[in-house]
Amino acid sequence: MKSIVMEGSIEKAPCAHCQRFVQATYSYGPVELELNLVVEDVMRATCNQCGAVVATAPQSAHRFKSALQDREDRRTTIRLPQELHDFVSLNLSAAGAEASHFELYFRALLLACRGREEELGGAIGEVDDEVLHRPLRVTVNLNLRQHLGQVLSKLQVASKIKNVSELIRRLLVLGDGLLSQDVAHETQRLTYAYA
Amino acid sequence: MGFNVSKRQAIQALHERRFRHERRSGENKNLLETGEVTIEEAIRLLELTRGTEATSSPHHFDRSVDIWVLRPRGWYIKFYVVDLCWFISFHPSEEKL
Repeated sequence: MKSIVMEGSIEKAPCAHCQRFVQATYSYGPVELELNLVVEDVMRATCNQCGAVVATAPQSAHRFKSALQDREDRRTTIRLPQELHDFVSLNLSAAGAEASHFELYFRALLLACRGREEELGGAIGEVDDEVLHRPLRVTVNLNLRQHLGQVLSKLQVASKIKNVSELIRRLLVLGDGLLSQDVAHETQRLTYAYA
Repeated sequence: MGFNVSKRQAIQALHERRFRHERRSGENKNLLETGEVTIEEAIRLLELTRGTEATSSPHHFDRSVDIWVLRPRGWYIKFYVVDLCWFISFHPSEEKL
């Protein structure tokens, strides 16, 4: 394969430590992209003289990109009543997605709110439903891309609800009413995209 | 080697994935290395760069190696070839736009 560097390949590369072009050997390993950001499993060349990492292969660009994206992600844990958890599974199944692919539904939910955060703030604050008083039995971990994390932050401001779990539980209720069509559309779209 | 020939060869190397990224601690992020600039975008940027935006100088490790530095608006692009393998980097320019 011409466009992929194989482990064990030896090529010339510039070594800042040795201050000359050196023979360097490619292998998979960690690379420190920035301070406190080490990216694993990068195809990189180490200097045969001093061992310093001197080059990387373009096939590892996706590793750097996803490491940078992961750092920007917003990780959050939410707690739900079993009934709301079932509601999410039901909607995922209806869209043809895996019933356990919760992140897909939450992404669809937030995408349906994007650009409407101000308008929805009041509705989120006013939501009242029996399901919001049910015991919180289920814990879900969410990993939201930067743009969806921003939607969540704007919704927190617009609704004046700081607690993310509380905010998402209320959004889920709106997902069965005011937002149902938009969320269904986004869920369907994401399901196709993931497929 | 003149700018147009070097540019054409660098573009060819990008097409053929026949390039690498040098790693130097403390250097600004190479957006081609991190995938934030795609190979297609890199090729387009090179195609649009003119000779008046480029300079070349010998590499301080080996004076037989010419380093091309391109400064199209907003960018600092560097490339050179060693043993048929191209080292290419794309950095956002630090100059004020």
